Parts: sequence; C-alpha cells; structure tokens
Amino acid sequence: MKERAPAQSAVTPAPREGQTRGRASFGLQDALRPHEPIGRSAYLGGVSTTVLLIMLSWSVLTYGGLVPQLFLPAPTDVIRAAAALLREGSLQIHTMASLTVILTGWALAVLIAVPLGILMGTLKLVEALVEPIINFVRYLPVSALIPLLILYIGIGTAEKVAVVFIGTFFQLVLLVSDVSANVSKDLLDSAYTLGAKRRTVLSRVLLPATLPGVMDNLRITMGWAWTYLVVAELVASDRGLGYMILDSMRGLFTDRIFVGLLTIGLLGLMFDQIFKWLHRTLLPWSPRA
Amino acid sequence: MVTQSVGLPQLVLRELTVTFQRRRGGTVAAVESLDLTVREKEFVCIVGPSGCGKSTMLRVVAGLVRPSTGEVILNGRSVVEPGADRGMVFQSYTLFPWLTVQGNVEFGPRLRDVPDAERAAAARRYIDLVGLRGFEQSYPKELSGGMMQRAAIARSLANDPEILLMDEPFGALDAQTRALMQELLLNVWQQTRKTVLFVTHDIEESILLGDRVYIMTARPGRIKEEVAISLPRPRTVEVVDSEAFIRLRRYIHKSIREESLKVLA
Ligand SMILES: Nc1ncnc2c1ncn2[C@@H]1O[C@H](COP(=O)(O)OP(=O)(O)OP(=O)(O)O)[C@@H](O)[C@H]1O
Ligand SMILES: [Mg+2]
Repeated sequence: MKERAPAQSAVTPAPREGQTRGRASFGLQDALRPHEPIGRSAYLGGVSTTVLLIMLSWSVLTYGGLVPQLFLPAPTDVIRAAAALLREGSLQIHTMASLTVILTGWALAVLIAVPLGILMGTLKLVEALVEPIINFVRYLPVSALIPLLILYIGIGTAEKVAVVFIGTFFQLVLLVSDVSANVSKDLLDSAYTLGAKRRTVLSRVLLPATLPGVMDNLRITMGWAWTYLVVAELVASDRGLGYMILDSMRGLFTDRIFVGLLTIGLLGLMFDQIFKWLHRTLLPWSPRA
Repeated sequence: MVTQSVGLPQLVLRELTVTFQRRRGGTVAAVESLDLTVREKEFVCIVGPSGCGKSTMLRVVAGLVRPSTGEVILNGRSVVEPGADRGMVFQSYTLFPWLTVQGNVEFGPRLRDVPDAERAAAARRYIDLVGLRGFEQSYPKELSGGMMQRAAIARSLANDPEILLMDEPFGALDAQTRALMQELLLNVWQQTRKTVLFVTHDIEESILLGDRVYIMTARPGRIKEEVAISLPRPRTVEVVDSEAFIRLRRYIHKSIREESLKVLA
C-alpha cells in the first residue's frame, strides 16, 4: 500500500503531469495555473507591484499638477495631515470611538446570531419561527432605520452600536444557518452509528463542523459592519472616523478626508489579517486554513 | 482450504418495506417486503441495480431510517434506533475533519468512557490493522481518499460493533486504490472475523469479498436471489482469474442485467 498524504505544495510545488519545467526558476507558466499556490516571494512581489503602481499614479497625478489639490491631495499632504491629527490627538479619539462602536455592535450580533443561526439551520422548527422575520428585516436597508433609532435612543454611542448590530445580526443569522444546514448528513449519521446520541451529535459534531464556515462569515460581516458604522457616523454624530471625514469636508480639508479613508482601510485590512490568522491558528484542520 | 464456519443467524430482516413521502405528494417504495439473514461471522454482499434501495436497506439496519413495515432483528433484539452495536462505513468521506486519525478512531470508545489506556491500545491496534501507522496525528485533509476510508473502517472497528455495515465504501476511489482496499478488507476481516453486510454495485467486489451475495430486484428493492460464494478462504485477488470466479461473475451479471433492463423498459 503505497499511498502518501498529498505533499504540501506551498514550499516546493511538485512537478505535475502535463507540466513542462524547462527552467529551474519560477516562471509565469507556473503562476498562471488556476488554484495552484505560488511561492511566498512571488506573492509578495504581486502585492508590492500593485502598491507601487498606485503610489506612482497618485504621485504623477498630484505632483504633476494634473488634478487640483482640492480633489486629490499629494501623498506628502496626507502624511502631514495625519501627523497633525495625531498631534492634536483627534485621530486617536475618533479611531477609538469607531472601534468601540464596531466591536461592541458586532460582538453582540455574533453572540446571538451564531447560536441562533446554527439552530435555525439544524432544526426546522426554529427555522419556521425565525426565518420570516429575518428575511423581512434583512431587506430593510439599515440606513432606513437610522432615523427611527435616533428617535428611540438618541445620537450617542448606543444608537451607533444598534445600527452596527442590526446591520450584521440579520445577515449573520442567515449566513450561519446556511453553514449549519450544509453540514453533511453522512457526517452526522456516522456519529449516530458510532453510538452518539442527539445532544452529543449537536455539540461534538455539528458544532465543530460549522466552525470554518462561521469563521469565514465573521470575517465577512466585520467588513460590512464598517459600512454601517460609517453611515451611522455620517448621519448624526460628534465623534468617530465617519464624523471626522464629514467634518473635514465642511472645512474642505481633503487631505484629512484621505487620512480618514486610509485609516478605515488599514483597520479593515488589519481585521482581515487577524481573522485569517485566527482561522489558521484555531482551526488548523480546516481545509481552508 | 478453510471451511466456512456457518454460525447462527445474527441479523434478520423480515418483510422490510420502506416508503418515502414524495415532496409533491404520493409515495415511492424504495424497499418492499425484503427478507434476508446474515449469520455470525459471515461476510454478506448485496448487489443490485442503481437506485434499487440498497442504501435505504442498510440505513434501516443502522437505525437511521425507520421502516414503514417489517422489522430488523439483531441478536434477537429489534432495532429501533442507531447504536454502537452496528458500525457503518459510508461511501462519502465521513471522518471528522477536526479530529486527527487517532481522534477519529477513538471517537466511539470515548463516547462510551473507555479508560484512556484501553482506548489508546484499541486505536493503535486498528490503525495498524488498516496500515495507517505513522498517520495517527494527521488530519483528514492531509490524507488521500483511500487512507480516509481506511481510517473510517478503523473508526468503526474500534467500537467493536456486532456487525459492520458498509455502503459502497470504495465507490469513490479509483480502480487501483479500490483493488488495494479490497485486499486490505479481506485481510482485516480474516483477522477480526466481524460479521459484515456490504453493499456494492461492483459485482467482482461482491464475489471477491462475500460468503454469500444477495441480488436485489429493481426498485422497489427486494431480494431476487441468493448466490453462495464457495471460493476458498483466505482469498487473495488472484482468485478473480479462477474458473469458478468467472462463472459466478457471468451469472450475477446476467441476473442484474435482467433487473436493470426492467427499469429501462
Ligand atoms: N430520503 C428520501 N426521500 C425520498 N426518496 C428517497 C429517500 N432516500 C432514497 N429515496 C429513493 O429511494 C430509492 C432507493 O434509494 P437508495 O439510495 O436506497 O438506492 P441505492 O440502491 O443505494 O442506489 P445507488 O446504487 O445509486 O446507491 C431511490 O429511488 C431514491 O430516490
Ligand atoms: Mg446507495
């Protein structure tokens, strides 16, 4: 019996059938095979190419005077604005305000939506109870609810937390219920034939089986949460990155608007990386880890 | 030549009928009035045309599907729900992805609170038996299809079931791997002497492995006939070239073909 585990091809991709390998170096031929991993340096090369291209066009457009500074500030202007905002301490304050709201709203949504979604995908009864409401609310844009929320709870932190919560909760329930409904029936059945009872199957088989999918959806909804947050901060607020952007617009400080945008983008990137890292670390068995 | 030890009836299916409710009203009979018997330490194969109700029948024995009428009796007790006394290996890959090979094999014993040392010993024994030594700490995603099915067999055996139910366990594997797996299963069976009820649509597989082969009719499935396979044991794959094997293959093939044609007619 000469079977081997599939070689981990990330480091040195094994030559495959139908693949000619003329040169020892990593050629374009290799990089263009669908779904095949490429080397780490090749990947980083791709990333830096994009970043460089963007920086280059940005510089040409601004320093070359092709676009008025009011519309597009030069890189150095943005850096200077960021330094000023940091010195004032306002960038930190707005970032903290946004982070507090997004993490609270999102975490509350996760806390309720994940168990509810798992039950909904597993038990038809729960699905019947919950699905009509969720499908209705899901199609209401959260922005449409903001006036009502302001009326109910004012324009403080609680209102923005509520916006983020509502925005993510209903989507997450449906996404997670889909994940748990798609757990293979044979997987559950094999647990039964190994002597597991219903409760054990739920906790020891169904639950772990949903984890990779749940993790993916946590990452995705965190991305959406930023959108809801900024909308809430743009509508009525006195702090947060969304507010900072709006306030900068009033004074025509385009460079500060860009600082706000870059901060949101970088925070999003950071969260994305954290989730990917968590997936790899907590679920090393996951096929997507 | 080893003579077959014919034991007492261990599993009896009596007048088993399974009808499914169609989504748009009406019913489909998957299995109808099916009778069969498996004796202790016997290896019984079931072959039949596609969709004739083989999987359904096996799932009833496992307790995963409730029969409409009739009953399943294992060692004198009526089967009403799934239990560790009937291990099952599925065609699809059903290892728990979050457990290592060892964790998977220990899953059943762990549920029954088998002491650590005993559990580890059982895991080691069955992992060795299916040739997965060295892969104890591998996750299923690191295994090939054949290795996953071997681990699934070890997982069922580690539970020490009274009967092992197998539903086309090698159906998803390529021809070479399947042949190796058949040989391995012969070997495992020779050493454990479990009672096995094995569903397949591969006629050669059924003759190579079984003491008896039941042929099912087209849907609704019932037993069309029973063929005794008196090829000597222990068997190796060489047996497929023997005169007796070829005769049996031709016979069963003809019998199933008649059934498959009924479906088309
Ligand atoms: N849960 C179910 N609901 C409705 N019909 C079902 C269900 N399970 C099986 N059937 C029907 O019962 C019949 C027998 O199915 P079964 O899977 O037992 O056949 P099989 O012999 O195992 O087929 P194959 O050789 O393709 O594996 C099929 O016509 C199938 O459509
Ligand atoms: Mg089947």
